[in-house]
This record gives sequence, C-alpha cells and structure tokens, in this order.
Amino acid sequence: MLIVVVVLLGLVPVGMAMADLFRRPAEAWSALVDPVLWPRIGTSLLIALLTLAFMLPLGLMMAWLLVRTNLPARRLGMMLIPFPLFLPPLVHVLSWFGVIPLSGIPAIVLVYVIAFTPFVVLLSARSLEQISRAHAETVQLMGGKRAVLLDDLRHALPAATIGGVLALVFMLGDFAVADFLTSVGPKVTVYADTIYVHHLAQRSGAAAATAVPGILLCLVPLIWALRRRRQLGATVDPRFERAEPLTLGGTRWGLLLLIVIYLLIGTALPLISLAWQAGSWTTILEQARGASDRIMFTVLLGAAAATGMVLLALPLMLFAQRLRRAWWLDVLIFLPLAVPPLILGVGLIRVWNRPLLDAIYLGPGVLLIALIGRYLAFAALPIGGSIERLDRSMLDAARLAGAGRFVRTVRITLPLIASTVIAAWCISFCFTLRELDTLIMLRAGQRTLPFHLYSNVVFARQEDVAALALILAGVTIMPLLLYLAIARRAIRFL
Amino acid sequence: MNQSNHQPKNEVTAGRPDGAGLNVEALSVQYGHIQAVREVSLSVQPGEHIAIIGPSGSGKSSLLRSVAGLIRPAAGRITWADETWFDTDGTQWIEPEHRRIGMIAQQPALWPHLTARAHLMRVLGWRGVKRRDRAGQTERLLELVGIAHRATHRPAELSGGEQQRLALARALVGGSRLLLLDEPLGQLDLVRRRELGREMSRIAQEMGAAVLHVTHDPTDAMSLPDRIVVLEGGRILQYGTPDEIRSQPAGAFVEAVVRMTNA
Amino acid sequence: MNADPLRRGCRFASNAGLVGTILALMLLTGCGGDEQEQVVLYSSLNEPTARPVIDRFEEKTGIRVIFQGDTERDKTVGLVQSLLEERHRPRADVFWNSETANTVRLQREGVLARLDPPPDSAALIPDAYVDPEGYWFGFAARARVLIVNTDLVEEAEMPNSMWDLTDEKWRGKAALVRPVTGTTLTHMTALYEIIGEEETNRFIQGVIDNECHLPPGNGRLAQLVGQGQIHFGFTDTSDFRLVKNEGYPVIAIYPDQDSIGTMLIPNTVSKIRGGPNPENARKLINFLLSEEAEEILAHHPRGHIPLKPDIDRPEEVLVPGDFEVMEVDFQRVGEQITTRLDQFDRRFR
Repeated sequence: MLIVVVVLLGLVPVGMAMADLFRRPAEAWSALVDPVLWPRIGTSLLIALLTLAFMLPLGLMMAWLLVRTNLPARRLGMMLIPFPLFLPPLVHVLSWFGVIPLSGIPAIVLVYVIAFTPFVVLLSARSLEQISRAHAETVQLMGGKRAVLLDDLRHALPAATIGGVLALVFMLGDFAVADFLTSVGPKVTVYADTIYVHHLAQRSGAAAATAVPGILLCLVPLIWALRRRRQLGATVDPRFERAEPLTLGGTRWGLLLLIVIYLLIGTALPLISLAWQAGSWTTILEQARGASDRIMFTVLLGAAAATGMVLLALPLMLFAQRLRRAWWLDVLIFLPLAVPPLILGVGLIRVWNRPLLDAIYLGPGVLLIALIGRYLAFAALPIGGSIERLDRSMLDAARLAGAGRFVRTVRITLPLIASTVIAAWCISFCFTLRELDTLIMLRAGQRTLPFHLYSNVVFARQEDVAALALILAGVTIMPLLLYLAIARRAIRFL
Repeated sequence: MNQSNHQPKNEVTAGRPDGAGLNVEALSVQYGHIQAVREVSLSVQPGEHIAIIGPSGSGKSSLLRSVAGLIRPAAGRITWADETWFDTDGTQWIEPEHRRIGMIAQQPALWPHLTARAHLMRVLGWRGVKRRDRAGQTERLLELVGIAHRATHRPAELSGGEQQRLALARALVGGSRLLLLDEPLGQLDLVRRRELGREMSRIAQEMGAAVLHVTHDPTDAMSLPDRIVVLEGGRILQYGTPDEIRSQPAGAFVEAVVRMTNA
Repeated sequence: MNADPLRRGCRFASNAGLVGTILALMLLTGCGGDEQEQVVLYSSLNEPTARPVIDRFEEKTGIRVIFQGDTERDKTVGLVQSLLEERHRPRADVFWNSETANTVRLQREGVLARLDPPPDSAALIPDAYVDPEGYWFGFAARARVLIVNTDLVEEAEMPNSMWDLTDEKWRGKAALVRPVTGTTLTHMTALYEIIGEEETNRFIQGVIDNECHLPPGNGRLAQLVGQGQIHFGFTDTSDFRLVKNEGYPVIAIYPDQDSIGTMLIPNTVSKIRGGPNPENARKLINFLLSEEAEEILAHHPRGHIPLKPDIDRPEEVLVPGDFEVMEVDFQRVGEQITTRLDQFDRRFR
C-alpha cells in the first residue's frame, strides 16, 4: 500500500515523462550520440569533481574536528554547520558576488563548495559519532593518533560520499549558477543547458534521453555508498560507548578559526550582504508586508510537505528495515530527486491534468505531491538511518513484554528516533522552500515565495530583491533555529 | 527419569515432559547452512531453575531465542502446558508478545526514554493488567528487586547492577511464566554477580516462574540451578543435578567446568 | 515538569505533526472553486509587469484573471512546456508572450486557436505584427538596442551598429546574450532572413572571435553594462529602461539606422484552442490589443513601445518613425527558430 503511494507520488510522473524515450526512440538516440552532449557532461563532471575534491577533505576535516576532537565550542559549531546548505546556491551567488566580482569555473566551484559542504559534514559527523571507545582505543594503542585519524576517515568516507552524491544531484541539475557566474568572461556551458535546449526545442524524447546519464551518474555512486555505509553501520557495538575526543594542542585555536571562517563565508556574510543590499528595515518590512500572503502560503506548503514526507518516510523505512533495505527501494526513493525538475514537472502534468482531479491539479494539492515525491529522500535518509541504528534488543524486550508491532513502533521506536524525525522535518522543510523549477510549471506554484523572488530578480529594484532573498532565507532557517533552541543539540542526518 | 549418564547421541531428553511447564521437543535451529541447534528436547517446570552450559557456539543462545520466539526454529515443537507455541508443520506459531515470558540478556536493553517505574507500568499495560492495579504491582516489584528508591530515574542514571535489577523486574512483571536468562550478569563484577544471581533465582522462584539460564560462569552454573543441561555442537551432551554432573562429568568441557568450581 | 530534551523532543514532534496536518487540510480546503466569471492567462511576463494591465481589465469587466507567469531564470521554457503538455486538456484561455518565436512554435504544434473574425481592437495594428491567419496579434513592442556605459565609452567612439560587436577595437568589451533564448534568439534568427546566411554567419563568427561576453539574459546584460563590467551590448529597451531608472550611467543606441534598421519585437497574444473560457478569452485579447492597454504598458517603468499610432506615452519611449525599423517576417522567423537554436547552441559553447 505504502509502496503504491510512493510510486504514485514520485515514480508515475517520472515514468510518464521518461516514456518519451520510447515514444520517440530516434530522437532520443540522436540526442545521446550528439557530439555536443558528452563534452558538456565532461564540463559538468569536471566542475563536480573539482568541487568534490575540495568539499570532501574540507567536510571530512570539519566533521572530524567537531566530533572527534576537543575543539572549543564544537557543540555550537555542529549546530551552526548546516546553515549554508539552506541558502540556495543562487542566494550565495547573488549576495557574495554582488560584492566581489569573480567568474569562471573557479567561482562556480567556490560557490558549490560553500553551499554543499554541510552535506558532507553532517553525514560524516554522524558516522564518526558511531565510533566506539573500545575501537578507538585499540587503534590508538596499535598505531597512535595518526592511525586513529586514518581509521576515522576510513570510517566516515562512505557517509561523506553520500553527502558528495547529494551535492552532485544538485550540481548536475543546475545551470543557473554557471550561467550567472560566466556572464562575464569565457562562457561555461554545462550539461543541464543541453537538457534545457532540448526542452526549448520541444524535443521531449531528447530531453529525457539526455537526462539518463545524469540520473545514472547520481544513482550508481549513491547506491554503492548507501550499501557500504550500511555494512559499516552493522559493526556498531550494541553496548555502545562513544570514543573520547582527541586532545588537540595549541593548533586547536587555528583549526577553530577555519570553521569560523567557513561559517562566516557560508552564512553570516551572505545574510549581512543581503541585509546591506536591502538597505533598511523599512525595505524588508515593506517587502514582507507585500509578500505576506505568499510567505504564509509558502510556509504552510513547506510545513505540510515536510509533515507528509515524514509521515510517509516513517512507515516506509520501518518496512524497509524488514526488507533489509533492498537496493531497489533506495532507487525508488532517490530517482525523483535525480530526475531534472522540468521532466518531473512534465510528468506531473501528464498524471494530474485530468477530469475530476482539478481540485488537486489547479490547487496546492499537486504542489504537495510534487514536493513530497521529489524530496522524500531527505526525510527517508535520516529516518531510515536512525531506524537501522536502533538497538534490536530494545525492541525484542518490548516484544516479549507483550507489545505488538504497532505498540512497539509508537512506544519504543518513535520516542527513540524523535529527534531525528524532527531533524528530518526541518531538512525537508528547508529543501521544499528552495524548490522552484518543478513548481513553476504548476498554477499554484505561482503563489510561492521563491517564484515571487525569482520573478523579481532582474526586474525589480536591487534592494527589494535582496530584501526578498533575506526573507526567504529567514523563513527557510526558522524551523531549524526553533529546533536548535528547543533541543539544544545539532541535527542528525542519516 | 534423569538420564545423567553420558550419551553422545541426541537421545537425551532433559526433564520430564509432563505438560505443566515448558516442553521443547526435537527442536532444530538453522542459519543458512549452519545448524545451530539439533533436535534438542527439554522440559522446565514452574518454579524450576535450569542452567544451560556449554562452550561458545554450542547453540545456547539460539535455543533460548527460539523458545522466546525471536527466531523461528527449523523443526520441532515448543509448548507451554497445553498451549502450542510452535509446531514443526509450521502451522502453529504464537508471536513472542503473546507467550508471556521474560528475558534478560547480557545487555539489559532498557528503554532510554522511560523511567524505571514507567518501564513496569508500560509492560503491565501491554499485558492487559487493569489500570488501577498497575501502580501497586509496580511498587511491589521495584521493592522486590531493590530499586524502589530509583523509581523515577532513567536507565542512563542507573548503575550496571541497578540496570540489571530493573531488567529483571521488567522481565517478571505482569505474570511472566518463564524467565529466559542469557548470561545476564556477565557485565557485573564478581561480588555483585554472585549476590544478584542468587537474588534473581530467589525472586523468580518466589514468583513461581520457570527459569532457563544460559551461563558461562562455572560457579553460577553449579550453585544456582536445580538441574544443568550441557550443550555441545547443538546437542544435549548431558543432563542432571549439579551433584550428578560434578560426580560424572561428560566430555572435556564439563570436566574443565567441574575442575574450576572445585578449585 | 520534566526537562529531558528527548521527552520535549517527542512532545514537540507530535505537536508539530498535528499542527502540520491541520495546516495541510486548511491549505487544501482553502482552494474551493467559486463561480465568478474568470479567464486564465498564461504569460511569459513576470507578474509585476503585467499586473497594471490585468487590474484595469478586471476593473472594467468584472472578469477575474487567473495569472500564471514565468521567471527570467526559467527562460519561458516551463510555461511553454506546460502549454504543450496541457494540449489535450487545455487549462489556459490566453497566452500572452513577450516575444514571437514561442508563439509561432505553439501555433505549429496546434496549441493555439484562430481568432476569426479578429478582435475589433486589432484593426489599427500594422500588418507586420499580426499573423495573417489570425493566430496571433502583436502589441507593445521592445526594440533591440545597444546599451552603452557612458563612463567607459567616449562620445566620439559610440557604437552604432551590430557590427561594432565584431570590431577589434571592442575585443572582450562587448556582450550579446547567448542566443538560445528569448528576444536574442529571435533577433539572431531574423538576421538570416534580413542579411542572409553568409553575412549572419560572419557576424556570429565575429562575435565569437571578438571574445564577446555571453550573459544568460538581457536584464543581466544591461545590469553588467550599468555596473561597468562590460562596455556595451545588445539588450531590449525594457531592460535598458530598468537599469537607466536605477541611475546607472547608460544610454541606448538604436543601431543600424542607415542600413537594416533596428529590430522591434512585439508582445504577442493568442487564444488557446479548447480553453475553458472562450468568450472571456476573446474579451481579454480584445482588451490587451486596445489603445488603453498599450498606453498602460508605455507608461510602465519598462516603457513598452506602442505599435498603434498616437498612443500617449512618456517622452523617452521612442516609436517607429522616431527610428528606422527592421522589416521582419515573424512567421518565417518563428518557423526557423528550432533549427537556428541548435546551430547557436553548438556555435556558442
């Protein structure tokens, strides 16, 4: 039943759109052998690999410092680290490079590194937290601190890879950042541009075919990394005691500075620069008042979508646990995320523009469906991870004590993973608020704040745009701030 | 009746299958190609305490977990009085939550989000005890296991011994008929282990529960139980009272155990 | 009260879940249909630009306009895709496009309906901006001008032709939007009609050889010229006006006045075949093509150029006659646009 819902939300639209591959096979084939395509995939991959080359070491190092060492203020650092992720890359671009002119591939890589490194930090931090005291001590006895560091990195690498792949999904689907940052100087034309041109020329078969390499590029490493991480996860000692943080000498202040600089670049400066561009409180308040309906609509939509995602991900992941997390389920959940947004939009129209479904298609219903279908992975990943890590013996104890499946889930599983569920909700909420490209094709999508913002970029006064971007950033981050204020601990991802 | 003589083949039936308590008949457990338990038969009466000893990998835990219903045996029959929990034809299966048994493993597997009192209250609710009776039973049991003063504390705030006492209370509350102990005291120091082991045995007997106790500790094995089952390679090697085992140890493992306790 | 974060977390989660579900229900039920007269307008314009005209129409007729717009970031592709995908069950009544190419393409795909007889208000529109078969009608145009930064370019050196983009003197200093979208795509495609295959290819090669910058949109290009990062480039008058209004040191030059003239690209409006409100669609189209609508659009900060004679407009809004206009067959340009798009996509890597 549940699988049916997931299929309906995410896969039917994807399938309906990708069907053009087979409906127009000649067009699809010629798009794949088009000599223009592969150099562009090469360019996109180059950008992605360069980004990963900086992002993985940086992210791993920050995660290691925050989890495994006695770095000052590391709890606070861990709480703040996700923030750059929740500012859309284009906001990083608009805020930063409005101040400092930078262009070309180095600038693109820089923006992606700033925007997506938290993926790596959050995921590897979670892995590093799972290292037990006994394990760490054994390694240290045998090889010293150096060996501990190497062993920790080996332990966190699969999770970091998952973070890298999530970033890859966003990088391969994006052409706006490259477009904007190569406005001046040599043009960089990326993979996503090609898909876009096919859409523009109304070659839906070619667009679908062109999307396939990107989907595979995302899914294959992701499935590998998820399996690998699960193997490592299975070695977690049930009588778990967290490893002691390593003591850093005087270098720790220098290393702290590095994290502070990253947070400044990734969060504080964009926000300050936006505020500075907006000029005054009155501009911000004016824009907020003018867009209050949209803000309300967007927040409600995001909240409803995040709630839906969590409600769907919970039973789905409980079920997945019984299936021993089959790889095809991972594909099922991640596919809608890896598919280019326009293709998903086309699929949604084909599925929902039907008699009797107008209330859904013309209203916010279809937006909810689109968001839940597309971003389910962001709820499923952390929830699935925490269910996997839950000690079976606690559930067995409840079972012998007379608790049936439902009671066990509600009374034992849910309370124990509650903080992850809330974190998953926050993450889902943030990502729904960034979504634009799919929603733009649907009527009610016009009522969202991102649409309002982007329809004002270029057209409106710079101050107004900056104010709107600031409002969007504020709304996006709000639930996370709320969570941090209440739970007083970092969010847990995966 | 008591076959205390050494029999290499699996014709040993531990206990007398007279129907009052737990009866296990020709039980086999298989993991893929590995046969963990081979046609084991044994009986435990209410109030009786039986220890299972044997080297690592002899199938002790598998036997216990299949009695609990946490793993499904490949063949055999498990009954309690006239209730059939499992029958070899596979048609009969009672879920662990309906077997009314308690189990304590090496790790107490307490629920981190609940206080000691809430642990017991919750189990009483699941076991269908009337709301008005729950508080009284909870207090009595906490008193019995000696952690009444810790009733409002969560597992993280309890010592290792207290955690095991709470696990014991949870395993017995709400009328458990059978208590399965899977090396429950392995994590405690020697002094406390002896003390708590005796207490567990006493309390279980007081509540009239049958006890099936897997242990590695030779002293525990020789002092606590009424009878001892020796498992090796998934089969019952020997069955008898501690005295019988001591006087006629079968096989190298039991001989070593006996030597250690005599030393 | 218990101060355990886990416990509080649970309570927070269940409350959040409850609130979320209720909100979702409110959200979903909040969209009940009303029976007011309405018309659905899909427009490649962004809402702030179209809003004054729509407001006036609603005021006059009492018909509610449901507006579905687009953003520059998406380059109209989403909206056109929606129209194509909805072809079998159209949800729009009217398509108001800010240029001509996509309109002609949608016509060829059978998405548009013929307006026969043409709306009364179309009578005074010059023939060049009306489809002879009655599928689309042009109004409120933009001119393709050179926006020049006056701080960077001396009075005497001012460019005045599209060929200035290929002039060695301006190497690395001029700009053209990468012609795979919008008015630039239409503009470059039209050149093949006007100056021929060979000359156009020479121009394009010149643009590439001269290291012209290729920003993603006309608005962005105008901004970059305003900020002084680029000396000059081709943009639309509407984008020029916005940058000018922000106070940047820029002027617009209407190029090639002595030769082929300056390209003028009209907004177009057309009726969707099988749309849900055909009567109201006709009324809206009739209004969009009226003098009143052109006047409102001329007075908009973007300063659209009225195509009809004698429309009241701000002084800065020049009209045909004030400058030489390139003669373009928009139908033919529209028909060629996909082929040219692929060529441009390959040439401008």
